[in-house]
Amino acid sequence: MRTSVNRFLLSSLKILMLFLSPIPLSLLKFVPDERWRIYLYAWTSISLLFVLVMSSVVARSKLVAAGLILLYPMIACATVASIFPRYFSAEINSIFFDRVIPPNYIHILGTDFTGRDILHSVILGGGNTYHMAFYSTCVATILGVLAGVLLVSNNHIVKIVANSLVEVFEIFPWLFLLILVVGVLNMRSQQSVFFLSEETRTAAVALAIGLSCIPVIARLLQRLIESLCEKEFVKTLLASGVSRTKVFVYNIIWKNVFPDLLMQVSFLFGLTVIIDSSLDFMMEIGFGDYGKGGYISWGTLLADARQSAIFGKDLWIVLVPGIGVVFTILGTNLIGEGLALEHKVRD
Amino acid sequence: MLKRTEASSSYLTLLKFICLRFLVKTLFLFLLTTFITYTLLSYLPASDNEAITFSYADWLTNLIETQDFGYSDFHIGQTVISRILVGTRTTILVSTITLLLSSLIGTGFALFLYSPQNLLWQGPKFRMRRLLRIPLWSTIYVVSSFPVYLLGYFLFYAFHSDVNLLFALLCCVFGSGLALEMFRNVSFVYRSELAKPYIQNALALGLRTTNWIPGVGSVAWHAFRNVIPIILPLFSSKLPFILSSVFLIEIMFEMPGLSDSFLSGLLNRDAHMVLAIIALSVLFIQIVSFLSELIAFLLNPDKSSL
Repeated sequence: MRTSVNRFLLSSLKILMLFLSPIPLSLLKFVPDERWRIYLYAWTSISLLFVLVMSSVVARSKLVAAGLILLYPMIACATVASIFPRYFSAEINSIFFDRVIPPNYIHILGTDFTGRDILHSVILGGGNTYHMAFYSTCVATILGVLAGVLLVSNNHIVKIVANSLVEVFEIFPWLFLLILVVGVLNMRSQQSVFFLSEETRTAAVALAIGLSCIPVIARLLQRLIESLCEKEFVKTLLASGVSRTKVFVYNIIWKNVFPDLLMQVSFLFGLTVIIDSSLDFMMEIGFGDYGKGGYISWGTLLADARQSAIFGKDLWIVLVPGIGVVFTILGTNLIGEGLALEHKVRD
Repeated sequence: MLKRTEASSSYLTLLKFICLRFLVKTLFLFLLTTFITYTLLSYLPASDNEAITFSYADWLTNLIETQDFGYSDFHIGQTVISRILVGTRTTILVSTITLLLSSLIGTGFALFLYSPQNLLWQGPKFRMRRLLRIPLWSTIYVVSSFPVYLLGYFLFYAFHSDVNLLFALLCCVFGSGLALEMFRNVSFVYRSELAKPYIQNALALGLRTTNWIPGVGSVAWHAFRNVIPIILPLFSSKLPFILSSVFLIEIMFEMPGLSDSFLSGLLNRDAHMVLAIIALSVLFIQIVSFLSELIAFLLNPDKSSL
């Protein structure tokens, strides 16, 4: 019993490390010497991946290890562009007849219909997708935990207000809400160039995606806390005079809810990647001039490449961003499922 | 006799409570979602910096007085309902079929993979199920990792057909992990039910186990009957997600659904159109949710104890 609990906590910490691993990688951009920066980047990424995968193998969690192998290279690639910006550009080739080039020595993955190098576009787009997914997951987790705690409040008014807010985001189809938010923002920024910067727009979209994902976390927390409050050990602790705050924060949230929360967060990360790429895809197709403009993400790259997918021509354009999205979602699903299995063993 | 009268009275009270809660909740959510939409739309720019020429109260009053969503701001002289009637039918049809199909697939997979089996009987069916478990599990995971639009691409490429209801449904059911989500939910609830003491007792006493699907009278059948009231509301709670997927698919497959009206309404600053689509979506989701709750209540084996 004790071993399985420790194993689960170890896995949870590992997942936390995985999601926080872009931070030390991003810090490398402050290393002045570029050669050292390259060495350090390669060493940090490989050692992090090795530690994460080996710890999963030691913990006999094959699913988590497989998920890490699929997901980690994507995360590492997504941070490359911010550390070595001068190597990655999404410049459009102006020579029309030179636009679609198959993979060759210069363009390893070829170029797309607008003449952009696919490798560069995929790395830049992956960076944007991961940043958006990371911010959205953070927003959803923080606000979801807050809403979940309020949902089990003893104060009826607080409970009703929290429940109403969660229900609104539960019932509002996420794509409708996001298209409304992004559509209004894009149309306003088209009218006035100075209306909104790229950072503000990213923050607004991440907030909108996070808000639409709040119910996922809030309902989980509500269900878990309500069931835990009925358990004998909680009643015993309260009867023996331990403060309510300590029991709630330490015994309920930290010791019992946190592992489930982390498991849900890993599923949520995959969901936000789906939502973000679907939104970009939709905006690119459905909004025409009011679409994303020069913004690159895997969703926009796939929307640009739709002709090649439909007609089966120049398939290399759609292949790499497609693999990126699928591997990310599959990786997060496998990690979440692996954690769920370990949790089952613990129970 | 007295007991039966009391039971039916409390049964009716609970039914009334469910209906009343549905009405209050629907009204509240209708007002809140349309108000959020109106607030967002009021930020839409227009040539004279005033995209919306009416107040929310006016829109609501008009809706109550005429029971109509008003006239389109872009298609002058046409009512919003006449513009979106066909689209609403298509979207509701595709969403409902997707909900039913994904629920059936998720439930089928969960029952097939997790139903208790006769471990003493090592026949070919048992071996087949053991062999099928990993490929089935892997297939549903891999296929569900494709977002809706990417799955649509594959179908386009594989069959070279752009308007096909079956493809659209397949994309909606498997894309974005909908069937997987259903499978995960059902298997979690089903396995929790199977772990309960009454099932363990029944297995220990030698009640019939199952081979492929839970046959009537078997242990798995009893567990499944008790699981239905829990999973039905879970299915209906996925409807907003399904509507979003259907929205994407309608654009990809150029189906005459609500998505086209919604996008053109937003691009042309047609606030009446956008508000009507949001309102109809919320009503549709609420009605399905109410129906699922009602069916779950009627199927609940515990209701006889009321």
